[in-house]
Amino acid sequence: MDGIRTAPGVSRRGVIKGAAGLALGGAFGAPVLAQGTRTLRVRFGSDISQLDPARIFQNENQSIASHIYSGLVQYNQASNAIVPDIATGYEVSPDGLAWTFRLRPNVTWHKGFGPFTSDDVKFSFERVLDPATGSLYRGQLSSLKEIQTPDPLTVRFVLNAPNSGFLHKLCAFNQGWLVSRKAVTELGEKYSMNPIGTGPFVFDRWTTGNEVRLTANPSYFGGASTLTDVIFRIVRDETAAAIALENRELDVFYALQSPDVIERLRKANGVSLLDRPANNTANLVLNTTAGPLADVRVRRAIAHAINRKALIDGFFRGTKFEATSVLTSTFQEFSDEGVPRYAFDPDRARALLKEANVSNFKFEITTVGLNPFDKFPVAIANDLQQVGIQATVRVLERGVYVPTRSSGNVQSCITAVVGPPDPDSPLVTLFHTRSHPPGLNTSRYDRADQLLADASRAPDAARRKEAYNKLLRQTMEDVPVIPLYADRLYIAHGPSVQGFVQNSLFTVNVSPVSLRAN
Amino acid sequence: MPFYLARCALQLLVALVGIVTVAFFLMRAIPGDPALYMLGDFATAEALANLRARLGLDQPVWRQYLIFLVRAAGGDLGMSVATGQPALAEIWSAVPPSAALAAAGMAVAVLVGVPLGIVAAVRQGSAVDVFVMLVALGGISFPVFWLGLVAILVFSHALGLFPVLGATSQPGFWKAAHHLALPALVLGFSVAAYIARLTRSAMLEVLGQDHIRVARAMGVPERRIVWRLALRNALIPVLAVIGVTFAWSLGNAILVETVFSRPGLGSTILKAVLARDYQLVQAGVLVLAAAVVLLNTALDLLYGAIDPRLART
Amino acid sequence: MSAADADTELLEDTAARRRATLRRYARHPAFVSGAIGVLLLVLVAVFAPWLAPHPPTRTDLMNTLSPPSATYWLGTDAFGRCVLSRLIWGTRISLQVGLYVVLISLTAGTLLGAVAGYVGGWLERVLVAVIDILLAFPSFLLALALVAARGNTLDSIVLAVAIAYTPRIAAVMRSVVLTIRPRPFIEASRAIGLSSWTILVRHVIPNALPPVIVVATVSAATAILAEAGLSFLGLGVQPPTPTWGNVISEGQTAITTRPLISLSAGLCIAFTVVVLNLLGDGLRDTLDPQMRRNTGKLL
Repeated sequence: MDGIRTAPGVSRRGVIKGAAGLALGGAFGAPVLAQGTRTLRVRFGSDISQLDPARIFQNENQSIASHIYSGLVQYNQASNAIVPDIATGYEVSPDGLAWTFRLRPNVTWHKGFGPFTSDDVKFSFERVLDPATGSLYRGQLSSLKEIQTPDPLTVRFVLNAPNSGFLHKLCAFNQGWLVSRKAVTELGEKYSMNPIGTGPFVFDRWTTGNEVRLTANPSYFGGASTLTDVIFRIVRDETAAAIALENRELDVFYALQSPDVIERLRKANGVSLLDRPANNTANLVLNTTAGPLADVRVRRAIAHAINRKALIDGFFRGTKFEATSVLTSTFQEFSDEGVPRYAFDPDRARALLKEANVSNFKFEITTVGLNPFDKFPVAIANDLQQVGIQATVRVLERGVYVPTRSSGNVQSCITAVVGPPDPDSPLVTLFHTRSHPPGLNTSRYDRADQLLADASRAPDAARRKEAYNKLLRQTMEDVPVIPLYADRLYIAHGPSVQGFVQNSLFTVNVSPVSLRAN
Repeated sequence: MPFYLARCALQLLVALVGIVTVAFFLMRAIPGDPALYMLGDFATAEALANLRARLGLDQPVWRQYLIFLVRAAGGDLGMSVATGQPALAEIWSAVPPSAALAAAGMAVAVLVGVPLGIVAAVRQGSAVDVFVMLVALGGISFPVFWLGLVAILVFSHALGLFPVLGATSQPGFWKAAHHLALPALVLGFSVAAYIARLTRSAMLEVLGQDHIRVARAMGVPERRIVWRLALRNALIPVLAVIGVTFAWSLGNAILVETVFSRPGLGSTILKAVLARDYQLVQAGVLVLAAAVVLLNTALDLLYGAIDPRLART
Repeated sequence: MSAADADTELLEDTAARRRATLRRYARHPAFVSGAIGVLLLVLVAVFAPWLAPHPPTRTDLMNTLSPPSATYWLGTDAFGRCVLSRLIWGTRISLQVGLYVVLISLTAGTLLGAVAGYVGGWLERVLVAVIDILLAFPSFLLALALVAARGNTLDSIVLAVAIAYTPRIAAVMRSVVLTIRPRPFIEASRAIGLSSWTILVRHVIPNALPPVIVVATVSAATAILAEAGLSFLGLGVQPPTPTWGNVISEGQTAITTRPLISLSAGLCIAFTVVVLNLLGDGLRDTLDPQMRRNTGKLL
């Protein structure tokens, strides 16, 4: 049906549509940018829920937040290099324990919440560290001892030990996003859906289940956007979103997962398809305190039983990569030398289970109702059933999945830690004891703390790599977490979108985008 | 007539109280602790206690019911657990796009279904009758979301005539209408099938009645019989059909909204269901039932105007 | 009265009368086609394990979304599962839902409606008000809310759909009982001193059953459509159990490249609904010639 063309550059659909357009009197013509408004329309696959940086999770939330908030420093979207954001410069003391940042003057918070000062920076980080906030990112700031504000435009971080990766923690992502003391204190419970930042876009409104609207911030310190507003529209089905993109009902197609839709958009007229390797893997996290899973042989059996290659080549049609550990090759610190691999070997799996004296093992995989996380576990359960494990899949909608997983009472769950190219991001989140439930270390693994601390204290790149390699080797030997595949990010956009850069953070950021009239 | 009006008003009040009652018991369908169900295992004890107090769960059932009733009368249907906003406000903001879809859908359904039903009844047993009834059978047999997918496949994907997204936030009446067209046609078609069948039955019943036979015997031209005698008498059952269909079509509307990613009560309630935001689910179901009741009351008043016999009782 | 009815009335011999009745059924095209269709579905459901060429949950990841072939007659879905096998097994769920929902809602609705139609007085008015109020709730949404509350196992879905659609059956039963109540033989029963309950159970309900049986077939169809709708929204029986609604939903993303997946599942549902409606129409016309006269022979 698609792909048939009457002439180069002219599609059958285009001809029919043109004729129909004439027939319908031109009132229903192709969308034309109205004078004076430049609205960018981005597709989301699911809804937002939480815009408070201390508690933020899930890529849609993070995408919205990346337009609203600034950090002291930020990741360059293309290269992942760390560049200044709201800070104009910084110095590190010789002993590596004090990091002093100079802040940009004359920056104001959105919606009249006053001037941005170093006190807001102090407030932002202290609140992440405060157990009462219940932040998921407390573990990331474990090396921070205190924050000093010598004057309104200077902030100093004092660490309790040198940390070569400290800049990552301050990057504009999750805990690095800065909030206004005034706004958080005044809005209280309502803050999570009324975010106030210093970024290029201001939060306008959220129509639940349908769309989010941001308007451009005219006084953004980095220069106001040429867009007037951005609309993030929730379209669950990817094929419908693809048709919408081709019909110019949408400008940017985010969260593109389905292999067929990717193929279709690759061939579509006027559509640009971008892809790059992501910084995350999708993992099966096994609860090492739950029954037979306490035995490492059972966990290794599960790893051998899953046919990951068939999943990547067959189910995903090659749109994902193989993963040997929780870190992927996009990390500078990555090295898989000596890391144990678990080839697809159902016989070995059965042998291990027999050795561990396990039979009639009822195993439940809890997963979230998002594409593809609600789909591929079915194939995994199938593989496990082939080796005699009675595997079932329980799909929970996001709002229910997150608290269920946080309770720590699941046998196993699917977790992907998306985000910055900071190796601590997935590793601390999945293996540090500080991340035990309600954090994401639902395997309750406790043998990585020292190795993580050593790695963060490594003085140079080579030794950092070595230290992280040690960590990977150990975690793959104990295999509390089975990496299923390394993610690949696909985004498509229409011809009127210019200046779009795809990041590897798993979010979409349209701050630099401008629209060209058709 | 005033007696009739008063009776309609009283029925409306009873119905509204009844709806609130049923909505109240809907919450009781949750096994275990509704607060835990809504907030999840990881909720803080404080949040749970707050919600329980709000729902009045520790009080005797009759007391809970009265509190619920009084609050509902004042427009307070609880808070959405996900957004913390009042449930009624959130439902209310989703009403306009749903109302637009329902109105457009019903318009299509009535304009297509009623004439088809009449034609089929008048030409009972002929090829036209068979054809109309087969098409109608198809319309009620295929799930409406399936019809939506086929419509997208044919009209959006293959022909590019209509947008696939059921709504747009860009301004302009014609733009909005263009996006509404396909969902309205799909919803309308499925309801039209239902209306056509029921209208046909109603018309046949009327046409079989004695006074019609007498008129025919007396040589009154067929067209006059159909349009002036039969139709007016069939009008009441047809209006009744529309009233009955409306409730049913609201159920279909949620499926159509999902297929076309169109905002409205359907997607709001579905999201609330998936997120276990039960206060919002309750509010949504309540508002929809209220809409049905109000429509039926309006229809009752219309009957009273059309058929004076009813008004006199 | 047609010649066939006259024959039936006059024949003294029970066997001959039975034969005549059967002939009347057999002459009715809607009834015959409906009955055959339903029988076909039942057979497919019962013999699914033997009819399905592959296990419905067996994945074949190297053959996902493949077109129809000799091994997979309708092609495969996104997991490489045989679509035809899934549709065949899906018949079981659909028919189970239809059957159980009808049993539950028929029992509850008949009792409720019969009492509401017969007993009179304040109880009747209260019951009528209750039924009317329940009818104001869009049934599908009511089922949705109930499934949301109690989870989406097959049992709770059946119960939710049954509860949601009972009011309609009750309303129909009531209107039928209203026509039976003034009949002479009821008066006579009361005169000879039979209790209301006995009259209700032994005389009213059996005579009211024919139209209600018709409604039952339509209810089964509606229940199947409701289950499909719930599955499509993600609230039906959970994967990997195959239901027709699940298959449509899973085929949604491939609708432009492999429309056959969703289309065939939709056709299965439509076929089932059509044969149930035909059966219902046929039953209505043959069980009660009175009704046939008024409502038109065809469909």
